[in-house]
Amino acid sequence: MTIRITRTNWLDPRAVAFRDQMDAEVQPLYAHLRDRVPLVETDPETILVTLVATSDGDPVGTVALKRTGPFGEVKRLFVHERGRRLGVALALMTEIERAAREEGYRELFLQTGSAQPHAMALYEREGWLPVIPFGPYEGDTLLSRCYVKSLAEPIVAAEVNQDGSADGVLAHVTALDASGADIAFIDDGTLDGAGGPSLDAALVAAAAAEETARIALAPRVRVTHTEPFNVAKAVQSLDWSAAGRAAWLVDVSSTAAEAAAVGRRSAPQPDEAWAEAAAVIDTARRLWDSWEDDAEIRDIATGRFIDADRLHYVDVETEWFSVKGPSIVPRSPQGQIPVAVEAGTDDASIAVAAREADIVRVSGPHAADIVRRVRVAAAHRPIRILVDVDPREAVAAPHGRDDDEQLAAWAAFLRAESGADGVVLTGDAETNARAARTIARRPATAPTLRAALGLERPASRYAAATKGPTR
Amino acid sequence: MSKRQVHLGAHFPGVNATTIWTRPESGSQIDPASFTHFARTAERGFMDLMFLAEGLRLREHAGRIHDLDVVGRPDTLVQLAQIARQTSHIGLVATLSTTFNEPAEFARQLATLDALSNGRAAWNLVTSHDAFFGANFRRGGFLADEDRYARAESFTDAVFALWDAAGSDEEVRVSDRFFDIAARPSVPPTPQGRPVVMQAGTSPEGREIAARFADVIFSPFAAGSAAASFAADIRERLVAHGRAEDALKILPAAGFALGDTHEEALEQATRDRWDQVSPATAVRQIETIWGREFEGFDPEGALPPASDVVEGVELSAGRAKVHADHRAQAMQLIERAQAEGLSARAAVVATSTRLSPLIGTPAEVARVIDESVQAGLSDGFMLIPSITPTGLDRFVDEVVPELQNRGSYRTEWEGATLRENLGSARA
Repeated sequence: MTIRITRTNWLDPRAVAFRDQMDAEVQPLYAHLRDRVPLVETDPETILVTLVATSDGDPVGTVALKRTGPFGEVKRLFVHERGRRLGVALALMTEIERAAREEGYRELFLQTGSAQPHAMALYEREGWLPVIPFGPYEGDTLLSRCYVKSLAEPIVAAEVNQDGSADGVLAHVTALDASGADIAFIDDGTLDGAGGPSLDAALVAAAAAEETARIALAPRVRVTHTEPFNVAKAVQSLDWSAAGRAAWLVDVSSTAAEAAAVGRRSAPQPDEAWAEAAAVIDTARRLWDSWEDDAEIRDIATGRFIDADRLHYVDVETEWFSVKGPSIVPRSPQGQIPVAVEAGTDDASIAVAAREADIVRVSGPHAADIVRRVRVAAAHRPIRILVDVDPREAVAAPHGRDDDEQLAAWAAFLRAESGADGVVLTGDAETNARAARTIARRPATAPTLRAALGLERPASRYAAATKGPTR
Repeated sequence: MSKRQVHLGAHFPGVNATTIWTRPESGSQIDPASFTHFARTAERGFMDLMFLAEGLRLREHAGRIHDLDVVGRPDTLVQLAQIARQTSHIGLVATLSTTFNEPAEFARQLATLDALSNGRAAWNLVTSHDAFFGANFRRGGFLADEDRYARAESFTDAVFALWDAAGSDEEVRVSDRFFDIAARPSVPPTPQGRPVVMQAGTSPEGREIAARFADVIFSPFAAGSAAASFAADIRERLVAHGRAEDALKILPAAGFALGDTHEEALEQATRDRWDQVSPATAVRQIETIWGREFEGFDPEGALPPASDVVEGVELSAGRAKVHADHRAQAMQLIERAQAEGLSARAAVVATSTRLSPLIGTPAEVARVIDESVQAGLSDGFMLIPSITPTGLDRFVDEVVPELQNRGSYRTEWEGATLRENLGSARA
């Protein structure tokens, strides 16, 4: 007996026949709800893939993949009596997940019914997580039982808020590290003390580098009132301290209070502050490339410690600042340190995120729209988008088995809804660590952050210009 | 009566003309593990502090990046923040400029280091003075040379005010010709309140700043009458500022060489001096003094004639100017070479590195240190080893026990914070 899965179309008579049989079997189970739960019709235009399974040539089952708003939805899994207990359902599900990955989905959803315990058991066995009824099933807790499954491992980051104490902030980061989270965004207060006392995030990150093994450390460092040269070397040095686990969450300042605390310039408008931030990022990237990887030669014969030809002035001149270079720090483990930007709903931050960032954070009710705008503007640049998720707001699925499972489903749901590649947990230390433990992939070793994000380590742009990228 | 106690600092070798990078044991100047080894060794030796220098632009010679010495270092504060979590008692000194920093950010960073280290942060106050460094900063070469120390004073006043206000909601206002600031403290109160302040300038202005603000002064006068008159001058200035005569710990900078016998130590010191001045380095130094380049110059041959000196040309950029009068400097070299029959390189070796008093057996070096302190010439030394990162190992293993045996060096820490271990009241 051989089971074969073939791709066909929605109107394949075998598939149509199975769906009719399925309706005949299932609909009587819900007859008593018919007045209260409207029937959801399937528009054939939204069907992306239809599969039929055969056993030694006989059709035994079907399943389909449907586009439901931003979600990929598995529809109409049905196995005929003669195909049951042969693994047909599993084979169909495996194949439809593969097809969904090819379509670019990172999460899949499905809906089944409360009177089909065997179906629910199958999905739960296969790693599907219960989630609140979504999309066309929203609000229906009588009939619908919805599930989500992640097809790609999400990037799991967390926001580390400061409580004003070194011990508090470091405990939060170390708990996240133990939980398997990928990135800790370490928040920073402003120089005018608004929002209460806190510690310099870049230095907290350096201390945390010593107390963690795997997690990447991404301090928030504002660029409006700081020196581009200093910011670049601090982040680059953090990359040395953390052995390639550094990132930089770029932010701007446009409050009058912070401008007065520094006293060097008046507060810029947000658009101008972001335009300057783009220039600071570009300058930092040039400084990070200003030493080629093999600049240090220690050539005793000529007495030269470095090959000065492999160090480069960056000669940046902008309307806000100029920087000569090179960096005082040799090229760091990652070479180019991942840059993160929070894209708001304004054009300015979206433009900077799309043009300059490796990691983009989005949040709020318009997250999906921002993700779409960033992806369009970023065009072919490799970019990883993370959506803020507060694990304290995870909505209880009506049939969720425990809190952790609900959290994981909630995070996957929000990620899929927004089209992001991962999440940023924005809860307190305890809920963040618990959520990360549930959804993070926990790498066995500590790769550099670039490697964890699937980004290559580029050669210095200056080396590439003179000698080709292979040296 | 108990003896005056010795205090020791450890200068990370790294980027320094005295660091030897050509030996097999010469390690990385940038790998964090080098800093870890050095810090833990210094702490094992009960040293008060570990010191990181700073250079805000790579040095140049004749318009090209200087390539003969160790190049490349971490961001001082980031590196020290990491070390803060690897150590528990040693003070962590960051060299930071008052010229290219702003008080609000600066005060926050130092306070953060103080919090992360549980009270072990220190600031080596320096000024930067030319457009060469300014080319990397927003303000550029904005500050007239004669205003360097005036800005430094105003800067330090503002920073102290911000530190003192931590924990309150008090607004700090500074309004003068350098600053126009209105800031509430952005950090929590930290263990030392005011991190320890060091100063390394020897100019009258530098000494004045030190006498006003600093807890430790790092001098180049390691011995003899120069050390004595420096110490006397500092005490006088302290009193003039209403501070106690011993409010400022004087730590002269010194390299050292150890041997099982005195002769062995002298041989080691000689080897170090020759390794510090490679043939290429000798040529570079001669070019700097003569104010011109010498293509194909043989450093094992004779020095160029004094008539070749080009006055007013500064080939070296990015380091402290040591040769104020080039022609006089050249004459000194030539006379030394003629008197002793030295090659060009040998003449540079003989004149360019200051001979340390700390050369001998461990017992001899311990005695020299102890006697300097008991005589009131210093409060100890800032040690500058020449090998990264193991250059301090033998000193800690062999000289420190000798100092302890003499009853003039701690065998346990006096307190938890750097200020407590230095025995410094707040300036």
